[in-house]
Amino acid sequence: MEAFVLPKAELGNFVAELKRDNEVLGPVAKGEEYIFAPIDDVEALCLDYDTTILPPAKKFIHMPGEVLFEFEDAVEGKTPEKVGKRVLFGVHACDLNGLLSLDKVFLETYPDPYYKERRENTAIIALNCVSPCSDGFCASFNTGPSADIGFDLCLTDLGDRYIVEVGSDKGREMVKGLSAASNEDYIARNRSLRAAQQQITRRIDADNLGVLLHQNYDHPVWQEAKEECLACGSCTSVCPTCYCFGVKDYVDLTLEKGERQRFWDSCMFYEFSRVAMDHIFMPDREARIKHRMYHKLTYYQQQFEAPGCVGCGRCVTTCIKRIDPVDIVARIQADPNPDKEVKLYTPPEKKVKPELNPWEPQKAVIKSIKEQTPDVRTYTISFVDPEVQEAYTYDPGVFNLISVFGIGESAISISSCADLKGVFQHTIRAVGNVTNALAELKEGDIIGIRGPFGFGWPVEEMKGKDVLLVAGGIGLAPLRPVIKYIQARRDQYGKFEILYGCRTPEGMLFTDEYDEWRKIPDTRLHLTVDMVPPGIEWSHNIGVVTTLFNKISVDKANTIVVTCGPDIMMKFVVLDLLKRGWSPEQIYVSLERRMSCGIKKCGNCQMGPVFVCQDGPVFRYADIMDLPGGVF
Amino acid sequence: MAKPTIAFFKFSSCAGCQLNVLNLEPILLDIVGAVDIRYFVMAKRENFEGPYDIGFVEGAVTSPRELMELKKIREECSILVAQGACACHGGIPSVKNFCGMTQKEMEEKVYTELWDLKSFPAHGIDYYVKVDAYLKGCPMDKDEFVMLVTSALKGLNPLFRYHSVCNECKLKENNCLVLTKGIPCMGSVTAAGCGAQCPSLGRGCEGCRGPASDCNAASLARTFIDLGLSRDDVVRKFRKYAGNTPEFSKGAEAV
Amino acid sequence: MSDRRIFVDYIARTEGDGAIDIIIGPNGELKKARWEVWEPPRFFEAFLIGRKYDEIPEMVQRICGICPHGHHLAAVRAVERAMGVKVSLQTTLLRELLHYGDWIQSLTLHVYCLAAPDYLGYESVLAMAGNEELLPVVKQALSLKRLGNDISVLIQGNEIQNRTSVVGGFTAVPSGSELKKIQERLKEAKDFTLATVRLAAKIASQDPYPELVRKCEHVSLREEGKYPINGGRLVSTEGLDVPDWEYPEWLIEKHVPGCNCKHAIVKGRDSFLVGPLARVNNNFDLLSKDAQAIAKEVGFSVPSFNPFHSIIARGIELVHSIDTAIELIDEIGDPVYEEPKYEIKAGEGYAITEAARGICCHGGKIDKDGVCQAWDIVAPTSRNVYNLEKDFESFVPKLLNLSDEELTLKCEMMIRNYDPCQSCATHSIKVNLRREG
Repeated sequence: MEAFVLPKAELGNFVAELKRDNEVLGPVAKGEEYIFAPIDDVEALCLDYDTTILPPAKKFIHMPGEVLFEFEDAVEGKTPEKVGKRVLFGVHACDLNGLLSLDKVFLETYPDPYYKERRENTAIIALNCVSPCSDGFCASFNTGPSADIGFDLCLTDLGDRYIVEVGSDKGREMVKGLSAASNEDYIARNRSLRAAQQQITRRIDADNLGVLLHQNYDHPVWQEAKEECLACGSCTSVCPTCYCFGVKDYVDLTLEKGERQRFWDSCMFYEFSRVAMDHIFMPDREARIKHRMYHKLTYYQQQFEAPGCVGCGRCVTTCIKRIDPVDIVARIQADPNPDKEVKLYTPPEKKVKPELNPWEPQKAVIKSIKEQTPDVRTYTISFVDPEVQEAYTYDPGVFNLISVFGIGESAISISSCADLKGVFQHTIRAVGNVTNALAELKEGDIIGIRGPFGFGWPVEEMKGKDVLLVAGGIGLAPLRPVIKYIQARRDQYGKFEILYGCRTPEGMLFTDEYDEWRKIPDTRLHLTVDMVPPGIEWSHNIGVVTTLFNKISVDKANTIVVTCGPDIMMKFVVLDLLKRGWSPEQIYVSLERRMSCGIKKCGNCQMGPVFVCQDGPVFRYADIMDLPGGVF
Repeated sequence: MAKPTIAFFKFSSCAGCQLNVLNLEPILLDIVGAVDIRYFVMAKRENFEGPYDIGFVEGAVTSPRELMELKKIREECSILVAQGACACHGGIPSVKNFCGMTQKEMEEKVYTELWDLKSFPAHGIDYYVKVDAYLKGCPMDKDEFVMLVTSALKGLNPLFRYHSVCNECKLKENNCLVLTKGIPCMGSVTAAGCGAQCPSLGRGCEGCRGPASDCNAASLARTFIDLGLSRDDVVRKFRKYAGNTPEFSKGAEAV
Repeated sequence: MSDRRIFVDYIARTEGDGAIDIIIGPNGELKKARWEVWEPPRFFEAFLIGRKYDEIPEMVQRICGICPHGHHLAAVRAVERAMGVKVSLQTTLLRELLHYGDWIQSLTLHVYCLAAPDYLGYESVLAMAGNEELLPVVKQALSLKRLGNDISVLIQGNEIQNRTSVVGGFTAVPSGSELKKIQERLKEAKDFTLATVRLAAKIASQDPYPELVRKCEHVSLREEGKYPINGGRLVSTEGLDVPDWEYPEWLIEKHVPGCNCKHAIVKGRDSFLVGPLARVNNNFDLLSKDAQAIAKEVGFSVPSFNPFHSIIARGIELVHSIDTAIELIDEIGDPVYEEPKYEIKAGEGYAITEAARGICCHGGKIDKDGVCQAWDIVAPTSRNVYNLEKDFESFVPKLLNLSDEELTLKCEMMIRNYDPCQSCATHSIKVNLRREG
């Protein structure tokens, strides 16, 4: 690699030269610790720092908080703020690798324009560690103490001078005027870095770490961690690879103007997985501790093919209880659960339109509203821009993120199928802030739509086979597109049986379509309710939807099952089918979790290594049934 | 749309949370313009009977008279908000619950004549009635108040996040007081929303906003012992602003 | 002819819960004149026993949200006296500036939000803001109140409950540049405070207020060389002059048979008054030059025994506060963080500060482990209750020609002269639980 020499006496001039076109951000002292801050006086620069409180790249490129856009009744749109050029000066290898992992999250599959703008305007001058910090274990993941790629320049301290390796054209511009490095410089560099490597005594055995962890989900070490952990979330704040965030709408006192903001969030927080009606998907602290550790040590690699842990050691340094991944992994390795077959989840490939700003809702107008039950309505919607409406297409079972400005966004499945031209439909129950606001809207009102997102039902795989559709309650809404899809292509599918269960008759959806469905050739519709209140007429089955399994006549060996409903209902449907000899390869479920982005970035919807928004919401049960922590 | 009607009530407290409403000076007149304040005895001489859309109650309940008033207030207010640490958890008035004296001993200590005072242990108002929202802190945070009013004007749940104060310290890159100075800071088990006001100024968090969601007070109590606090000191930490809460009680009982 | 009753269930525009009960006989004689405090007791003096010395200043400021600085600073100095802790000049000056910030906030709050509406015929300052002519005045008042609050925020971290002030000093100090910005704003606010004094003098000169004079003892602090705020000797208009820690001996609470209220009296004498009027009466010569000048301009002279002049005294103290705060900022310069260092020792100590509404007295005993063994708190408002009831006895008979509604308002104004904190006062007021009628 091309390299030059920068004598320490020249450092001031070098920085001054950079400051002509860039804002220079470098390590300065804060109390007894260090942070990255704008450098005005080069005397303040502390290049011999051990670690910083917040990782520099994450602090300035991912940003603890920012405004996505402003709105006044409807979308104003805000192009990502133009960022001036800046240089991160003195980034350690661990933090640089953390940035490269964040790049995978934010720049691939629905590139985030805000992150991109900042990333492209930030030059990275890395700094190899010649005296490693006390808590780091970067060598275990090959993410330190020296940097190999991803920098514009990389400095190594050789005593009275730095050797400066060039990593890009941008970097080459910066070293004009420096003399080339000599052989002695290279030798001194290598010797110094080898010595540094050997000083790192803390190690994690990274071989097969994913498999080991999956086999030891119930290891007693996790119970002990739960007793100690304060659930303060400091570990995630300081982690260079953590990306999770939340999104919220704010309005001012006029109630008409406001902004949509995003801010760092944490899977360690109790409310991270909270949805409407205060339902929490991960209430147990032990499950959350495991999620964080597993995410860093294996899930991240499965999700993004990049290291989730760069061994910077900050989580240990900042933890009041010193909960330490090195220690935990060592304890598991010393006393592991017996070997068992483990297949690590790999997410499906997703193709998207990269020029799209994934954050900008498109304006759509409510064409008509049909009340299905007192708290469920079907909205027929069309995009305001006819070209957008013309181009809009989607698979059965995918979802949109619906914005009511000033209130927020909610992820809702599309309840129509794309054969319906000019409009699309959502069937929505009013349970929380956004859906209750939607319930107040009228024909002609404007909302925002982002989407479609996710993988839908396997309508291709179902061709030539029998189809068993099992729906519970509101779960019929995301399955209705399947019924419509099959209806329009009836001869491509075998026998079709629809099983629909609700708590009571008044809760049933799409009642005016049942006759039409029964008229679809070779199609049977079975209805059931849990109970019938006095005074209501009901002539069909009474009992949970699994009681209908005795009445079906599809060919078990050649059927695909698609099911959706409350978690508890899907759990028992799957259990029952498996007991009856059905196989997990033929069962598909549609899951829901909290979603703030829909584009595999905010982390709210994670279920182990799975992102429900992009790897789902429809899943083949066989693919997810072995996830640590289970599905339902 | 008609402006929502608002009422401010006070029980056993210092009146600081009500004063904090008047401390919104730059936007006070905007807020007053957006709502209809029907009952606010500290600021107005003309006050009107209920019902009200939103009622803010400051102060802990310590006497039968307050309890009866509270029940009436709950009926009169569509949305009831506990304003400040005293109304949320009992606050400083709840320190008397744990001081080891009986009610009679306390009365004798403070008042030289005995007369029928009928004072009982101090609790936050949700001990007696259902509460729709909480404005935690001692005093409550002015910005949270505005957010709550704005959310209420839109008919929304403000969805405050009650994670730990540590998160706010990290975002400000504060030096952690526990790790760098051995100060027994309660931030890791205390609900955020104040911007880590005290730790940012070198003062360990005293827990005035009550417990964070799913906090682990017992583990922090053990850490305090390791920092050199005596058992009595640890109990004092957890029995100050929110000693009534089950979470902080676990901390006090852990040692 | 039957009795006339003036009864106010819940006095507005005061802190806390109080009531007025006055019964006037057919011949204009006062059968009953009581100020009743309904605030429920919180038993601070009981539960402070067994708490640590560093918790005392933290907890006692929660006695009152309007005058927490007074309680806090008196308690912290009392603890420091008990344990023999010395503080630096910087700490003393910062504490004074902090308290002046509170005075600015509290005096403005009182003049414009709590008292002025009565004189101008409005039910509240919010209603005053609805009048186009008064709106600019209201906005300026809110701006001045904000400035006082910002001084608190800068030094103690919060408008109301302090975060940084501890035994021995501060956990963090403001920067010199931030103080300079405050100083600029203080200079800009000066004119408005002068206008406040003129307004106060004008409205207090309306009938019937000038005739409502009653000589009584006015008690305050008096410090050598400066206007008293955080310390001084205990003095009065009747010649009292003792060290402040002797207050338990000289200011006594007496139970008077046949009367429901504990009476605060000066030893050997009778009721007394504390607050801005007392301070101005006892320390006029120590007010800032401009404060003295504006007082003379509006014709205010000492001693004044007209309690309706308190609003003028508050205006004068606002001018003085601005001037003194500006000087203090020059004296403080660029503060340097000083880590509070001291030893925990057993001892006994008492101290008084002048909260905006009068002397606030704290003190007690600490044992060798720093645990509180006893603590005494006397808030300013409880000193004034007996005196106020004497105001009723003297003034009400002069106002009998007013309608019930007008007389009720005047009685409320008599109470508001004292800018009372009923939460603070609860300690030594007998709560009358028997309502008549």
